[in-house]
Amino acid sequence: MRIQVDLEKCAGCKTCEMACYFFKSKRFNPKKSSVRVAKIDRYGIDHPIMCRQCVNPPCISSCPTEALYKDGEVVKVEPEKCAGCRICIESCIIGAINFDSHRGLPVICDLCGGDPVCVKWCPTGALSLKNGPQRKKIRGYTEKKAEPLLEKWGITADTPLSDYL
Amino acid sequence: MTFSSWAGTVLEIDLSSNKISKKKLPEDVAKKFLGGRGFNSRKLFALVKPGIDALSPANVLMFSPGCLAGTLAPASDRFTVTAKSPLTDIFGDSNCGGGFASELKFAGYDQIIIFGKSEKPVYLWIDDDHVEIRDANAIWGKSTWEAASYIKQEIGDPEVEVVSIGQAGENLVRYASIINWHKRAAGRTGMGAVMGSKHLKAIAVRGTKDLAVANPDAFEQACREAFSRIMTNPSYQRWAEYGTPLLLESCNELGMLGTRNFETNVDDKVDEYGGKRLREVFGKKMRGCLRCPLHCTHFFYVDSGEYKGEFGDGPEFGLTSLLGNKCGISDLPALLKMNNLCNQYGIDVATLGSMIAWAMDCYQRGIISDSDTDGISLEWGNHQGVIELIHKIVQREGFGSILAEGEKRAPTMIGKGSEKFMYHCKGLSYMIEDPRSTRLFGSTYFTSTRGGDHLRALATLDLWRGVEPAELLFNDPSVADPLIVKGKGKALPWFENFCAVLDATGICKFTALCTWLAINPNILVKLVNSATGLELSEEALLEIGARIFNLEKAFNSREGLTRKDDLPSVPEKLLKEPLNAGPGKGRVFELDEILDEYYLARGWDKETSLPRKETLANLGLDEVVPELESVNAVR
Repeated sequence: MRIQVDLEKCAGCKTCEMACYFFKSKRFNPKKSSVRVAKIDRYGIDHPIMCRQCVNPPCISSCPTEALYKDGEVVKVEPEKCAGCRICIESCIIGAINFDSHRGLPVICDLCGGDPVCVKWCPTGALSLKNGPQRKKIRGYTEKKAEPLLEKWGITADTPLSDYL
Repeated sequence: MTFSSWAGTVLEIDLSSNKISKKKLPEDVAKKFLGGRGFNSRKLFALVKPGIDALSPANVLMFSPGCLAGTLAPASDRFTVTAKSPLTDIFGDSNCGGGFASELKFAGYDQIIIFGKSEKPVYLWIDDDHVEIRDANAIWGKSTWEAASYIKQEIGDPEVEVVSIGQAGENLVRYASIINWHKRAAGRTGMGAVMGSKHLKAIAVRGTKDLAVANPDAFEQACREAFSRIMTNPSYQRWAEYGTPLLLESCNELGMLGTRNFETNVDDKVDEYGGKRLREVFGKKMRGCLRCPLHCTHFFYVDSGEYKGEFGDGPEFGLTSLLGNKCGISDLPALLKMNNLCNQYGIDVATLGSMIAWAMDCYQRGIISDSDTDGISLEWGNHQGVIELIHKIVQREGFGSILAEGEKRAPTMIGKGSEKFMYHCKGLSYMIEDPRSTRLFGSTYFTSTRGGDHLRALATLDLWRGVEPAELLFNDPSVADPLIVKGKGKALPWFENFCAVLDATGICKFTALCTWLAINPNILVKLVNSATGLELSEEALLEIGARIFNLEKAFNSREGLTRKDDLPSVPEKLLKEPLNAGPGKGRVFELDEILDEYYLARGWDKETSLPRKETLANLGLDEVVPELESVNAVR
């Protein structure tokens, strides 16, 4: 399970940032959120970034105090072991780790235990929780090949081929 | 006291002495005025005495985020900029979206008050508790976009929030604006010029503190309800997909355009530059201000033609109606180019459009000619000429230096009866929706405390003929009938009070009122109470709005404004000439009758419009009475 981001739908409202930290603390502070929206404002790009639950997380392997670990799919931190060196933040290949400067701890998306609040609060549907990787490209290839064959068999595809049937 | 929803500190900067001081936000002020426009209007009355030159160091420039900015409340990330206006010489303010308001709250500030004038160009850097006045020499002369980019690089953080002026503000164009991001604007009344007169190029903020609310669970509940009310509203789809540019088509259908400086009220070319074409041909994605589910901005790209390559965050109806329709321009790519220019230069599209429409009208009538306009042919629709003129206005060059002076002054510089074609109230030009077609919406232009302006009330009730809300709010369905006069003046204060409260909370008036009350006093009071810990009723909430509005009225009265100033600049046009098309055909605008009713409803003197002492006392504004009395500005 990971959170999928649709770049075309995201309007850059950053409600996700507010909801995330509020859920954890009942206060508001986007800088302590697990999700941060990167903006290339001039080009209309709004990109929510959060942990993708890497199979081989560079954050865990780079942590000098072994404070980071996997709990199932999600990455968590043991506060007592964390020195606040922020090497994990630099090691994350997509820049998904945030830093809570008041507690001195990294902030890493934990999917809210399976029901992420950012997904619930997102007003455009740009965020969604999906199983597995998107094999869109492969399916697109199959659909392209299938259409002429179905036509040859005389079957009219009245249901879109790309739906999960 | 631990503040909830307020950050707790007022920042005062004196640019003459470089003195920076912080004051605690007084609890009673927070409760009485809530925030944003409320805080600013109160301070403007206290700090700016009558008769000063708005471009002098004696003027005071204020920024204040709404009390709900920086929370999960929808469409709440707005701040108000206030000062005496160099355009109108009366009360001036602008409201702006984007992300600056919340950042101020996270840094710990509910208001910034700027005094004096810096000797050299500077920018303000606010990094939580650390506040610094920095050299802005390297960016003086640069656009708002360049300035923001430079500042972010100098600070080393791409996520800091910046508001800045462009060349228009630096050159004291009287209707210069202040820009956040690439198109969020504190547009009207020339706040950018005040900032420029103080040699203040920009303000950059970074806030890393937590913001708390009094009752988090109740607040979360109220936010959910507010988001839901907006997103399930019948008009949500329309605004979320098309934004304000769709109003061009709607106003055309209602016969409420101002084609070619109010020559007629319809335009057969609306399909060329309306919201539909903008979305279908040029729009790539919708974007919005922080925490807003309406995301009403088009991100556009022009891929062919004369303006190929133009891209950015899209125009509002203010631009397409005033620089487009009013000037006879229907070339949408040209308007998109103008949009980008105005945002980079930091200049108000509304006054700009009205100035150019006026100049075109004068040109067409032979009052001015090529020798006056530096050879630019101001035929209706000449968008290349208009773009050339915009550059000149920003640089105060040639004919541009006259247009840079604004609605009141420019006609006096031309003379020859040109003032007959400049349509404004108190020196601020108003929108194209003709009051003869929409009496409730149109009356706002004349009662607005900042001059000709529809946003003071945004009383769209009779534009859309909302009979049900009219019954609910006023027990009078006729308020929703744009052609019925009786009842309009009585209903108008409700909208003005509600808009003042919205501006105090930071919530967007477009989201609240163009969805037809998706945000109404009921949900607003739930949000405010759970956030602040106050226990306001809906009436008490609206009373705060009335308090703010009356304070602004007091400021103007102290400057010498009376009933005669609540009239259009060209009375013959609206009050005597019957409309020649649309639903209002054959009718004049019965403003006097409406004003009589309005002043009574407001508790102001009918003859002079001046507020009565009891009215001010009932609103807890006793302290302003002695000063008003000394200049005979109260009854």
